Amino acid sequence: MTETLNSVGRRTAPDDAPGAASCDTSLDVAPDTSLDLTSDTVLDPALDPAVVPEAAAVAVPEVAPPAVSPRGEFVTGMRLSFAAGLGMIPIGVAFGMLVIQAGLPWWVAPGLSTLLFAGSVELLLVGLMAAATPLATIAMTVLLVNLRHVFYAFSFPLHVVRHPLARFYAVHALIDEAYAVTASSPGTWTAKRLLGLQVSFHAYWVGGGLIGVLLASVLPGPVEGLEFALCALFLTLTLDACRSRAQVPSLLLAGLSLSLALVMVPGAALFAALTGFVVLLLLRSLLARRRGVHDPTAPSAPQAPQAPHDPSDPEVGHV
Amino acid sequence: MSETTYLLAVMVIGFGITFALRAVPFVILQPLRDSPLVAQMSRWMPVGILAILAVSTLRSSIGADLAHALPAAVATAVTVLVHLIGGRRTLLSVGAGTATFVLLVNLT
Repeated sequence: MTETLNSVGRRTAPDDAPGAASCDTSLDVAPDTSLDLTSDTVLDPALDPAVVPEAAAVAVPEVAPPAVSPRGEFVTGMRLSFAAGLGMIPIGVAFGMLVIQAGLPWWVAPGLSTLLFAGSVELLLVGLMAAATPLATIAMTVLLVNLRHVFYAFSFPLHVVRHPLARFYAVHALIDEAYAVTASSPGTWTAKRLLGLQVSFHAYWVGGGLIGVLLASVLPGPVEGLEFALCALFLTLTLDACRSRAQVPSLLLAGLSLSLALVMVPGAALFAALTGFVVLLLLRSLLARRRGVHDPTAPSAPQAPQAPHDPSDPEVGHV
Repeated sequence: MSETTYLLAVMVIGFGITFALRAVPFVILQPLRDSPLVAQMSRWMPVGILAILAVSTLRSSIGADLAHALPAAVATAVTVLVHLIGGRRTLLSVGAGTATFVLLVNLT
């Protein structure tokens, strides 16, 4: 995997691809069969919100306050997007400049950013497209670089979104940053808040690209180092997600998996680390079950009604 | 194939694959929603995934230029300290860390 990655990457991707947000991988094989998946998947009856038991997989028992106005929730989502926007806009600008510098038409920037909405692979594609790389190679590159998205379904709060079109959009706009921001505060999400967040991210990314297209003729190059904002964002979100000691084992397993990945497959470290992490968590789960250890991260809400004289429960009150 | 057709084909293929990668896991996990294992994984995964993303973006910030390693270390420390001391205001912590990195990288 690493070998082919390097050959593709070196041949075509410009070395100065500014701040590619993540590690990238690519291969030379050719599936372009996945196109058909786009239209039906989200409208699939299996995804019908009516069938979805509410929040079975969500860690925190409390659900977002229902009394807040939808507009307020959308604005809250926008506000939660600001920190990530600090990192996304400069990288979007860099991406737009790269498109022009590679000799591609300007609309490639908003086109890729609207349709793919996946920063690292877009930066990589600019070089591949400029070199007229075969579509099969393009397809494999996209597949491998974006493979990490398969892990996000475990805890992304898609179940709060009911409208089929909105669900389609929420899935389409499930970028690293959206996963990260939602994962650091589980249980607080409503449909409007989530869409406010994702629409803002999309606007930053497309808008940044357009600014970059305009600036390409004026500026010599983007300001170096702004891409650190994304790293800083993930650092703060990790700190926020790790407030209780119960999270430490997961953190250690992630560190172990990442260290192994960096040593063994440095060219595809991100995906290898995520895969290794999931495998380690599955082993942990197996061990915990065998030993009958109580999971400290489990929600404390009991399944069976206890508290026979709960005053707030009218059913029980007059028994 | 004209250049425009080629560029459009790249976009359509890229969209199809990226969307499928984002959507299919939801479809697969749907029937497993009530499984205790999936619930457990959804509680255990975020902190680790966030940490892995943090390190991998740190790595791409440093890039091929090892001279960026020290600025990255300092900026990481600034981000973490500002976040823990400054009351976990994400915008403040990210701003401080990024400013530190940009200054160190461009001035040294």
